[in-house]
Amino acid sequence: MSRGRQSGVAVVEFALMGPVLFLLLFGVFDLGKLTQDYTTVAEAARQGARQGAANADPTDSPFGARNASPCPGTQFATSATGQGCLTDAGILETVRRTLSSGAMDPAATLQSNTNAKTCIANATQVALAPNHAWVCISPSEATGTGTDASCSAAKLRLGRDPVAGDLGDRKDEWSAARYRGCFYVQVTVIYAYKPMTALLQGVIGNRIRLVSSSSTLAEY
Amino acid sequence: MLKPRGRRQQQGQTIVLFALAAVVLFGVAAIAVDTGLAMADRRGLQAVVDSASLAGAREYYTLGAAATASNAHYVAMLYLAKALKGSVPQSCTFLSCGNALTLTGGYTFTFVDGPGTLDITATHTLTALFAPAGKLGSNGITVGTGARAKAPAAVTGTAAGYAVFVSGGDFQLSGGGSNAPSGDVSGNIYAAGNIGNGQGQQGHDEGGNGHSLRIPTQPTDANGNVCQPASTTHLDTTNSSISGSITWVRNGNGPASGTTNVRISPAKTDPYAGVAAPVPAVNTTYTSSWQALVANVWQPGTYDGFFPDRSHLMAPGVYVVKNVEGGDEGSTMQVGGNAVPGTVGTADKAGAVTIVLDSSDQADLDLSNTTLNGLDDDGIGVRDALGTHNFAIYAPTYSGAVNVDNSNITGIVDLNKADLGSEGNSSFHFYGSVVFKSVSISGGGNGTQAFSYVCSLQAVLAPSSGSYGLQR
Repeated sequence: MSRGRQSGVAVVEFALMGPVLFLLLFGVFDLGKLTQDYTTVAEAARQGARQGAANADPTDSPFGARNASPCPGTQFATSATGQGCLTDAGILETVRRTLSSGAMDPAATLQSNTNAKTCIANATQVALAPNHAWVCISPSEATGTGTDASCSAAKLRLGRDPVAGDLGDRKDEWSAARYRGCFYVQVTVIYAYKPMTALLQGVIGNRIRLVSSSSTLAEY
Repeated sequence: MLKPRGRRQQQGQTIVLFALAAVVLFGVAAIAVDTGLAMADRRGLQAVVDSASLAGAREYYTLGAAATASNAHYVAMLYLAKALKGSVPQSCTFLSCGNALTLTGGYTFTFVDGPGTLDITATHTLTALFAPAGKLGSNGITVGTGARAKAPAAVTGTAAGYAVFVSGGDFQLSGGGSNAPSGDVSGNIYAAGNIGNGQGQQGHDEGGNGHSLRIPTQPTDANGNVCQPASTTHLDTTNSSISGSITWVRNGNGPASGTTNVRISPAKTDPYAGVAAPVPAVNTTYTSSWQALVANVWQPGTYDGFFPDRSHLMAPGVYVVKNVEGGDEGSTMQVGGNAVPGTVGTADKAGAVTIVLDSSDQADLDLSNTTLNGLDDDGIGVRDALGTHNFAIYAPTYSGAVNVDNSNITGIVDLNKADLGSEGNSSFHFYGSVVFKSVSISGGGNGTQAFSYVCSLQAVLAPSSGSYGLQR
């Protein structure tokens, strides 16, 4: 009698445990993808920030094809709209390319003159769509004016090493020889991770943010 | 019969589920781990390639026009090999080195050169943890990266071409004598007035070595080596007036007689007038001596109302001195010397010092018993590490008196409005190129005075603009 009733036990057990099992399964599946994506986001932020030192054209990136005509360097600096290489648009493009190389959606929006803290605070569920990235760059290239006589004068006034934005906008910082090698460019990448499985999408929604920030001392 | 069979049918279900799940789980984990490994590896490789390309390209700056692609490749390879625990092949030397490097561990590098530029492309095949397991048919993941670095362009210079340039008077060197191998003046001379030893006027020729003005027939350095390319020494005056006797010391393949080398020249102005004043790298203004001393050594900067006196030595760099009063207070600017001992007559790359004076300085300049070296380049004017522009003294508007008794001064001295006077019993030795309004050394005869030229000496103008450093 008891043996006859056991014939449905496996089905019942599976019915009970199945959802849990699948949740675990998909959870681990997404965790793997999440890890991979985070690595890519971190790399994208780093490559974006490195452009401050390399001052390179996005099409001339170290991991891509070699471009025969390098960035002309400081000669672009007079333009407030940022023609040249170390521009917000240039950094954005480098981040996009890195995301793309990591098999991620390269859709990214530029958030100029935004530091990491503000960038994270602003990237709400509503503001940042799933599978979409924000690239926050601080300082921006287009506003404000620095008034210090030199980098060392700025250090004296501030009582510390200047950080991004202390000396006016980034365009001013790079176009004025007196500020060269004086400040950092901070690049933050925030990516809204969308779970691959519908089950987790329903549970988690648009809540996961992959965040990485990197700074480089700009060189000209 | 039925019962055992029903059992058997159900026994494999969990296994199958687990097997399916495991494949997916491990597959995803493998991709994530391998991607992470590859990214981390590329990041490390990027750092190595960045530093190697910068180091290699730097040869184009250090060696200037003499640098070859092999120089840059070899230095870059040393960096790569050091960082990746490999070794540069024996076939590759500083003078001859190819365009490719392979290091154990799956590293390959190729080098591409541009003007002053070194571009390195790198690939690394690393052993992956999961991907290679026969599934993808490869034995690893290959990551690629690269970097291009450009050296700063050489700075341009301006050369007077004269060992002595007298802008507004005579050049008279009477009596005295020189122990310099090639004569009292070892290079070309320009004087707005007379050039000579003045014996006729002074009639003073004491001691065994009283002599006529000795000049080599070809310009030389302080050691008597003929400056290359060799040329004939010339004396330029506005009126071809040579007083007293001049002994031409024949050297190299120079002409035996120098009479044809006296040339009539139009009046010239200070040849270094176009060179901007040297500026301290960190231009701190000091108003009292305690501010300017660190560990009992004067620090470069702007000295307002006082000067780095000889109670202490001077750290390498540029010293702008202004508003030093003279006159009744009887003060003279008796300056310290280089804190880093360099060799007199050669570039002092580690410790060069420049003193910058202007018309606001009224006190006399006392350089007696001072060794001063402002040359921070080999005299060819392409590098300016300490910002001295190769000047020992930059004072084209200063018009005070100058005392150089028993001094050794290396570099360019621009005292375009000052007179050099000495009574001949004291000694001094200039190495380089001097500009004075007039020079008159008379009488005595027990001193040793020499103006040695530094071959191909140039004042540094400015680095050419354009970007350098990492470019990709």
